[in-house]
Amino acid sequence: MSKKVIHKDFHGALSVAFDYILKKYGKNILEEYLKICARKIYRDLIEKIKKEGISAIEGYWKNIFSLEDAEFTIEKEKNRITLEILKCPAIYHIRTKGYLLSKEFCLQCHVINREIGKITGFKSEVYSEKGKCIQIFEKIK
Amino acid sequence: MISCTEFILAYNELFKFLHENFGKEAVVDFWIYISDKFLDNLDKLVKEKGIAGMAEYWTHTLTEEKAEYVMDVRENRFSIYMKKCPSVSIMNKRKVKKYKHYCEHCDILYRRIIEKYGFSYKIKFIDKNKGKCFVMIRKKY
Repeated sequence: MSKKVIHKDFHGALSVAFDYILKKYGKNILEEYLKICARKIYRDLIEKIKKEGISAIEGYWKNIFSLEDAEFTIEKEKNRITLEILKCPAIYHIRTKGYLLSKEFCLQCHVINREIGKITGFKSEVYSEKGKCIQIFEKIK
Repeated sequence: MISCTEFILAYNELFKFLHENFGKEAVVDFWIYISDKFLDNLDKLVKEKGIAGMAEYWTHTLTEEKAEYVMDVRENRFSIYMKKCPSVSIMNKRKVKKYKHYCEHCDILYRRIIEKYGFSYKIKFIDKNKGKCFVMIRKKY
């Protein structure tokens, strides 16, 4: 099966955009924008999580991170799902191409996951460092 | 992580966010920043190869983005007839509200670079809702 071609340079454009917002408007404004992204861009995913729970998160992660050629593992339990990214495809591409890497690039995963979790009844945790991260969603009882 | 397949949606939300909170001028300032800080590759190609560099840049990006277009490359002029803009297609498919001045970013981002190297840049928006436009670049004598 042929590999789907995607335009990875968009990661670089997003990083430059984050850097611009951060320098011109500050971190709070960047967070506000990312909260909007969570609600608007992930509207369909949010609805799916409400209906299907953890399986919807698993399906989304598998699809996106396979498409992006990431090195990752997913561990699914009854009320908890953990994603470990060993090589973030976005950061790897930005570094390879020499684009500017915003110091708050990983804020997107922290804020977007938290917002999605808040709406769907999950507690979200993200631990990120140097192009590697662990992301967790745990069902709030 | 905002996947590069979701970037256009994030970009569109950023334009709307900046406009709603800081006015259109803030959106234009952002486009100028992106042109100056992110499009170094286009700048370098046009500076070194002129029209051949433009063809190289847009063949790469538009192929990866799966645009439907006709490119005409001649000695002293270069044009793209965009039959189906990939960004507009994504927004239409996802049924998201497009930023009302969305298409203008293609005018500001690229004009700044193209005109710097002795070319004229004209863009005609044929149908913004369907993502049809025509770009004509000519060598100035």
